[in-house]
Amino acid sequence: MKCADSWITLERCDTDRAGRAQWLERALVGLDLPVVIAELAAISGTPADSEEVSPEAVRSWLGADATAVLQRGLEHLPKKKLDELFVRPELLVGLQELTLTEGGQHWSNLVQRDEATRRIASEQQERILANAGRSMPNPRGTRPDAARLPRDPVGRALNPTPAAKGFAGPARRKLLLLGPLAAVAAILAAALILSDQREPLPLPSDGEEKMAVTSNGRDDEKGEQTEAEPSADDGWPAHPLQDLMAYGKSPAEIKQGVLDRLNGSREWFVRLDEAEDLSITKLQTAAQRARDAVSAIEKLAGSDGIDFGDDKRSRLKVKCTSAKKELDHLRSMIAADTSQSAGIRRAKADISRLLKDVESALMEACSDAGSARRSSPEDRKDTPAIQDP
Amino acid sequence: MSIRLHTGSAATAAPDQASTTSGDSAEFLALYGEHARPLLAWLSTRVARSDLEDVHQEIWTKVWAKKRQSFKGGNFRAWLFAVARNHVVDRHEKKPATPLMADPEVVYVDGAQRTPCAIAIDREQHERLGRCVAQLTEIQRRVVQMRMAGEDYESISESLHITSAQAHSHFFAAKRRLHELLEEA
Repeated sequence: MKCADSWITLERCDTDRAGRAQWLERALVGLDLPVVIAELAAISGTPADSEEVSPEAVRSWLGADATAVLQRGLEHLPKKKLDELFVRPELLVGLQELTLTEGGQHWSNLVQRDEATRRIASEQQERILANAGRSMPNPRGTRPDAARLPRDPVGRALNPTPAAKGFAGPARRKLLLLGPLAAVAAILAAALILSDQREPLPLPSDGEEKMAVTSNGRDDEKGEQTEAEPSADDGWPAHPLQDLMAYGKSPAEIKQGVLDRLNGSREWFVRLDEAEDLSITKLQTAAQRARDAVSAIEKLAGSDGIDFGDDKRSRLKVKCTSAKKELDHLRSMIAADTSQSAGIRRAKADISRLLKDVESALMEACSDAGSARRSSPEDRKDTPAIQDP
Repeated sequence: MSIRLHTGSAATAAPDQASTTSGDSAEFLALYGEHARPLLAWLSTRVARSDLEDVHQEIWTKVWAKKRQSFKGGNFRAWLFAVARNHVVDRHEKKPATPLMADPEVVYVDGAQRTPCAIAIDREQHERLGRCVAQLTEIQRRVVQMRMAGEDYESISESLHITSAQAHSHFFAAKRRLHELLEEA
């Protein structure tokens, strides 16, 4: 337990009833509850070896007030019982579990407002996804059933799976919006891990400065740089991002293709993290592929199948454009910097920062995206495969 | 594919075996987004602060690995907390993790002996704070206890036969003293 360096109970707890209830509620959903319990126990003289009161015992103690507390919070607890929580801190652990597992919207809202848990959950999401990526059964991150399907020359499934075809309605939109986040989070994880690498990078060997980038022959965006050459050796998915129209004709099919590509790219970044050394070539490739991911997100932002809202769509596009330019600049800087590893380390940090910026913009855009527009008769007749609550 | 992504306290159907990897990731992110923070809060009273993030990550890694086999639908949060509870118990007992169970109700904490929660009132910290409180004067300690118990100054003054202003003064003197003692401790 973190040792308190001040008496937070004495310092921050309000003295009026409503304030005390709200303060205790915040403590119950945050990370300071052990400190609060220790302080209250010391003040009230509760023995250190007091037995925890189980959630069921707390429910019994709440009695007829249990439902009101679980639905509407501690302000609905009679004053006598509320005060008892401050002198019997052993009740708080059971109360915490009860409210976290059975509490209604009031408690959910409180949890969502807690900054300390938000920060840790956000930081850990990237690491957990990276770990999860390593344990995925299919190394390319593609659907097991889709992997068996015949593919056209650009790698798209000729007979899209029901999963690819069947999403429709709000739930499908939710999945579509979450898909890029998963990929970006994984990419971020890799980029962040790269930035944390403390050993100086090896200087490039002869010929290493040249990045293995070639055109795939199709560039649907003026000034767009070509993506890194797909290589069977390094596991980069072989679906060309620039050739988005190859995924299908409807925005829904294109979006699914983008998602497949983004998710497929996750494994590559995870493997990059596992590489024993990090050459300039690999770093350049990472920058290029980060750029590909940003570019794909930009495409998604440009798709009128998702109603991001004009302002958010515009901000996301601007962010993507800016990130792409910076990533292009980074690639040239990485190629030019052959003297010291300091520049390379900065470049890694910059890749991480740029991806984070784009992720933030994407998350903001996805936060209250409007309804997806169904663009084909096939979409309209599909049954939602995932349903919102 | 028929995932019913219903992540709240109501029923959640189990994903079928043909779930897409991208779908899995999206579903996992949705579940993580909704349940990670309550889990962190719950863990804060069950593991040392220094272990909190590691344990949290271990639990989610386990959830990712075991969800398809072990989660049979129903209340995901209850299942998650059952997984977490078993994980924390196993960690405290330093024995290999027990198999995850599909029905969260049957793995509920079964009594004080298996409760991994003595950490909530850390003995060392408790003693440290207790020593601080013990150095207050009797009247300061009583005032602080009564304030924490929700009594107002008028009520305290009546109980202790002092004026309301004196009760106020004792309380703030006690707070100042406790801060000083904690810094010294």
